[in-house]
Amino acid sequence: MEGVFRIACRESQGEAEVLFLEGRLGLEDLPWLRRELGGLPPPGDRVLDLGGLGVLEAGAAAVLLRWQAEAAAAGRRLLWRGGPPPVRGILDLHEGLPDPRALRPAPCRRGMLDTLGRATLQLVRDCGEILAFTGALTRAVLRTLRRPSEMQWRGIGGLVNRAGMDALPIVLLINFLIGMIMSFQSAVQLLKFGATVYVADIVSLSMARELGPFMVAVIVAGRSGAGFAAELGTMKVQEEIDALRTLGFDPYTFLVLPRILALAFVVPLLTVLAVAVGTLGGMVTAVARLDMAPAAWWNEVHSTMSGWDLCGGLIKALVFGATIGSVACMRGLATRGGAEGVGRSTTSTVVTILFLLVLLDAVITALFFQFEIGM
Amino acid sequence: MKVEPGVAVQVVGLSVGWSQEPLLVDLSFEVRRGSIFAILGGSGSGKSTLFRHLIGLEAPLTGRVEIAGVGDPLQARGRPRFGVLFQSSGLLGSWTLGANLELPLRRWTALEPEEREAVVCARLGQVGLCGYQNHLPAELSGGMRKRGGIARALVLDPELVFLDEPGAGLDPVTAAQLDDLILTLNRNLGLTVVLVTHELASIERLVEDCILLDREEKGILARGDPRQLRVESPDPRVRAFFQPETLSTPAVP
Repeated sequence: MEGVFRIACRESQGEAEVLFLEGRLGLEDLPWLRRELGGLPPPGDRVLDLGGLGVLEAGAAAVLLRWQAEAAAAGRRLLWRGGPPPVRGILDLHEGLPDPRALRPAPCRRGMLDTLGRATLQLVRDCGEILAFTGALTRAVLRTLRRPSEMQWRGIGGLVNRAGMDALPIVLLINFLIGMIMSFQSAVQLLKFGATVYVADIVSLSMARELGPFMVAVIVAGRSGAGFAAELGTMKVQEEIDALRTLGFDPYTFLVLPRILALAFVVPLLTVLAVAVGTLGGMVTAVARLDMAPAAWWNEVHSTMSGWDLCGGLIKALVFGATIGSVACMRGLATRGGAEGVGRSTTSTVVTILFLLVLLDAVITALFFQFEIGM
Repeated sequence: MKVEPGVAVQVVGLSVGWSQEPLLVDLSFEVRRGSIFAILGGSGSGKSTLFRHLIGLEAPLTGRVEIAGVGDPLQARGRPRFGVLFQSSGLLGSWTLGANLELPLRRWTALEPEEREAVVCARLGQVGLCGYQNHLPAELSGGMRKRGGIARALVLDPELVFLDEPGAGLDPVTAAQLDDLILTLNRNLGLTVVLVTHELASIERLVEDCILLDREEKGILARGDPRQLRVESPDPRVRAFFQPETLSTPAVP
């Protein structure tokens, strides 16, 4: 009874074609049975005699009922008869279930206006989120200024270590290589004019004003920004943030402010080192490829670079650090859903930060130019 | 609004959800001091949403919640007067169990480190986790995490605790042990317990008073002693909730 599925025999009874089924009818037998049913001469009813069927798997029962509905829609009939109680029970279990085609979601065709409207609403929601975050953060800053003991000062050291010390090797390596590349690229051009001595000016000023703070910010955004967003996002979905609130802790004072402060401290610090190794990298290329003496290089750097150049870069680094911390914490705290939500927050954090870094860099550079700071 | 004497939590005309689509409308009930009170209901009936409003994590559409000694939990400031166990325990994952318990003590008391350590040890002992203070939550089983969460909820000696599905996801033996713990804390410490659950075994053992929420009604379907509701309620939906075995289910061969 429970053997391999087969059609034991076929009979024509009036206008109906009867198929006597035997064995165990499972999902893997259905394509063959479909061919057999379709292959019978139309029109007329098909009747499946289930008397010899030992087992009818639940999935196969659902498909049989679907075939029955399809046959009815085509003006034909697919019927069954007999069958042991377990087989009839399985069929009864599926009888009366809604047609899955009726449950399919309606095809979503969005016009341009609809898409524009949704995007605008999302933008408004995002702006509301930013305002709410800024308000809560300001409140946390004021509260900390009034009662500094409320801040988790001890946690800042660990965050600085994670964001700074752990990022140090990659920051040094990348900026050293950037310095070398800058030096080599500018030397190729300046050689044409016999002005290779100015390679030192280009490399040191670019590193101090632009590349140092920007490259450090990009690295910190990828490491710590994404890390903070994922960390806070996971805490949010695991109800840890809610638990902190019920214990009387403000998440902005306890979690957000220390992270922003840590990055606002770490990014300028890393920038100083990045500028130093970047200039060193430039010098290595100049010494090796342009036969420039190290002393000549450093003399040129010393005569070109002012304190304002470095200060300008550090101001940028400070703004970048605070921005990375703020965006990462904001996205982390706004996480909804499970693991997928955490992934979405992390991705959105990195993308938003990269965009903001470029935007802020342009704005700050324009302001420096306008007020002739370090120019 | 002042809470009436003998009442730990008072809810008046509370509507929660979204302005276009309220989930629960015009709820009014109170929780007596020293009792074990349950918020019951099927999946999607709004139990957890109501729970979040009771502990002040969400603002209601209308109405208000008052907690004795706290007032409106949404406006509560300073040292927490009630403890909360979340469904996923809510223990800080990167902190050890001991540090999780010590955190509120450090923030809200002037105890010396040795004194805090003694309190943490005693609280963990009370929930059967003595010696686990240096373990991270990820190193504990689900039942131990729940017990750790209860210990943290009790660490500031509140008179009221809110527990969100304490037995969810636990095997029957661990769930029964947790029920024993809740019962002991209620009897020995006079703790008022508000719990969200749909575990019938826990309801039978622990709960003295309850409300049964219903999604269709958008409110309270029944309220009272669950043992009485089980047999005396005229509403078949209430009886079906407490006696699911009476529901006819198609026989699957």
